[in-house]
Amino acid sequence: MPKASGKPKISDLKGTRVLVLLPPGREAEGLMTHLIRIGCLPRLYWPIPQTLPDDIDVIIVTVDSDARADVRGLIGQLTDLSPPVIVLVGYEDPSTLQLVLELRAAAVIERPVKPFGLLTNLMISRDVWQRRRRNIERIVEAENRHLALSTVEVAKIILCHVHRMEMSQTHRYLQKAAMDSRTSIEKVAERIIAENASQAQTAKSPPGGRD
Amino acid sequence: MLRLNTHREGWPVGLLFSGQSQTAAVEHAQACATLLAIDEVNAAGGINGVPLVPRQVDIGPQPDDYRLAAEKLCDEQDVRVLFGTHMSNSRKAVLPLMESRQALLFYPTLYEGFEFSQNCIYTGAAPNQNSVQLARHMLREPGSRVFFIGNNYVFAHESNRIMRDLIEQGEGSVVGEDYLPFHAPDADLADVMARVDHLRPDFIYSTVVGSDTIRLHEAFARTRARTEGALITSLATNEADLSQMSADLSEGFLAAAPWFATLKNPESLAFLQGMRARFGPQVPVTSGAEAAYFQVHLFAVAAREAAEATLEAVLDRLGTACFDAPEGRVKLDAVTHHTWLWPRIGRVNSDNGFEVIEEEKNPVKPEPYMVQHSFGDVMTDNA
Repeated sequence: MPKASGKPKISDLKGTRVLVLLPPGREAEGLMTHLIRIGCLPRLYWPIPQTLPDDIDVIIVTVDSDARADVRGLIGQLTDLSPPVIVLVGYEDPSTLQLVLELRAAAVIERPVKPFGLLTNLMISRDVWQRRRRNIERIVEAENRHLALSTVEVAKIILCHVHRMEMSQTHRYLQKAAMDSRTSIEKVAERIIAENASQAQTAKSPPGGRD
Repeated sequence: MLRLNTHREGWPVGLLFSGQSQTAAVEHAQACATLLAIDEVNAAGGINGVPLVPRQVDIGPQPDDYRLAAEKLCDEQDVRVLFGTHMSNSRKAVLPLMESRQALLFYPTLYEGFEFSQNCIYTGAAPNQNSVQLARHMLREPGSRVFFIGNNYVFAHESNRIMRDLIEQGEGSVVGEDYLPFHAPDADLADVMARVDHLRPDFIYSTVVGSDTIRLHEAFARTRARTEGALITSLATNEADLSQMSADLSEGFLAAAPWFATLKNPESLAFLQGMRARFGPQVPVTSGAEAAYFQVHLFAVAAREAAEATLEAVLDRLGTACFDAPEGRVKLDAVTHHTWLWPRIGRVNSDNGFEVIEEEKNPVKPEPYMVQHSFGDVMTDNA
């Protein structure tokens, strides 16, 4: 796996574990041989399995067969972190293309498969997928960061209003509490919010509260 | 310059119809119609004095068998002009070979559209030339309920997508959609019919092809739905299927096609008479056979006018060629390589023949890349 900052490298393809979902026959044989020729580790499965194996880097699957129901099953198994899918198509009609879209294809190869073009599509699909995955990681990281920052902000507001603290003091207060309890500022903030919520709950219960 | 391999003594042309496939009966009719048209072209002096010489080899039932046959015809028998293939998978199997040999394939069967090859001419109906008309007919009564039964292959899935779209636009509803493997066991058919009897659709839209069609009609004949007036409709059921059924099974069935064997215009009568004179009264004559017949004539018109026997010159002339076919005057759309055709609706009468109950007044332009079909925009040739 290349580093997030690194340029994609063609040598990354060596040893790529490819799951090929295609009925056995002349075309499957040709595809398997070529995948081995370019240094991949292909496995041929047919019919399409109910559960995908874990140790897979790329999936190559045909959609124009009588196995549309199985393709739908495969679509149901895919998540944001599933390996990239390369789709083999022999037809370009909308009902076939709908399956290509739902598989979130990283690349499409025309059937019958020829050796030329396979290497390029494998590389592009790996690269697209790695970018997609890095983007997902960055989004998750940013969302977590944002959540932590707003938690701290809310805790500071509580400190000001409930504990009559000056805003300028709140940060130092949180920092000290974190150091004293050997935890993070976010954790302290969460605790303050939780305590405040439970106090507010008890305060509300008796008729005619403090306010 | 891509030569189409004509010689002074004859111009070899190949036939790609299988006697062993799921659709062998209608392919046989298409092969006969091709041979009839070749005879007629030759009787009229061939291509400027050079006769067409039909070449045939045995073809097995699988798509790859068509490819092997095409390869033999091109590489061993010097053929560069071919007529045939039937189901989409056989055409798909042959097309890469046509492109690598720079040959020209004429494909005479309706199909699901979304294809173009510089080396292929499509003379069967595109979906806008049959689905729209059939759907419109099914939706005449408000709130029609339709059940889809198909074989599990590309035409069925795409044709059902289009039909669903049209039926829902017309405020009908699709109440079921079942796919059967080819040669499905009787028990599977019985299961589908049990669902039909439960859901009580007004129409069954069938994309079942070939020998399974007869079994579908047999299974349907036993349902309560049929006794109460439900009908089967299809684009892929034709006179070859009817010839294997009695009127008890077929009466009321609805089809959309550019030609039916009961048309009475002079070209149609001459075509039927020619088929019966050469191949006997038993040969079923279908819309696919009619396309197989006129496409040879369209080729001949273009080849006679072409300055030389090359792919480029013949394609160029095909762009303007027209022919008075049994269905009406046909011409090619040079941009899509598909054909302007005459959609009709036929209903099977008590004599087990199609009675034409609706027809377009003008030929309809082929739209093989139309994603969203609608009722308003069938484009006809008013010129």
